[in-house]
Amino acid sequence: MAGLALPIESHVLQAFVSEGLKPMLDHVLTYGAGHFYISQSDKGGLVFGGDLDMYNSYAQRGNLPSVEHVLTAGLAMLPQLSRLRVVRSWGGVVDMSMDGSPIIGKSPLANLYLNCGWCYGGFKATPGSGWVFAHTIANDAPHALNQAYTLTRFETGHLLDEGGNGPFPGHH
Amino acid sequence: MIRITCPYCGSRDHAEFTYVGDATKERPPLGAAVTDRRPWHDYVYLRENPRGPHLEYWQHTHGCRTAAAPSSRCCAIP
Repeated sequence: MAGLALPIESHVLQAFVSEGLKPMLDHVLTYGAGHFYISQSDKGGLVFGGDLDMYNSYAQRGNLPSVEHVLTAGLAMLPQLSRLRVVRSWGGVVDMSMDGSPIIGKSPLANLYLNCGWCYGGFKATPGSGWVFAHTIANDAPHALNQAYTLTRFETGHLLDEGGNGPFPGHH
Repeated sequence: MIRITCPYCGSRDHAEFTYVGDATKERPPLGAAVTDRRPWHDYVYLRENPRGPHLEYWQHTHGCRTAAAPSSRCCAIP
């Protein structure tokens, strides 16, 4: 759109919803080592997901090996999921950055600001990220909290690679 | 579910492979002193992510483990 190439790979991530149940989970449960998350919606269905399919795609569906992988993690945490039916699944694009951290700040173009590279996370960070992004736009300069999340950090080596996985977006 | 044709093992399920990424990136030549970081930064970090055909490297890690050579572009699939 603006002719910029970014340090991002567009991967597909699947998500799933089970049949409706009486309330059984009143938290968001996550399994950090296995990239699994689950919560229960107001309609009763369990909403869950996990790892990426691990390749570039804009498709709105993923592959069965990933389904098995995600459900295996889910059953390891909550064996009572074993008899539940999955009634809905889909895939969506996630912008995986080269160090697993978002890019919030100025771009090489004047009056164009970037807030991207959130990978498969970020929904719960929306209020905070929106706040610093608004500050960045209003002042044409980053807030102290998003000062490190620059696009140029990949040129200078100031990466924010929490997992230490290197420039392999699918592994973040 | 996706079938990838390995030049040594034939057509195998994509779960046997590890995705390596964009096969269109040209690795800058080594040897000479690196005076400009930009070609290396471009090769390591920047991606086009086209919506459409995408030439990719896949390494057959659960099979012959053929390493994707930059010049031969083995296992690249459109």
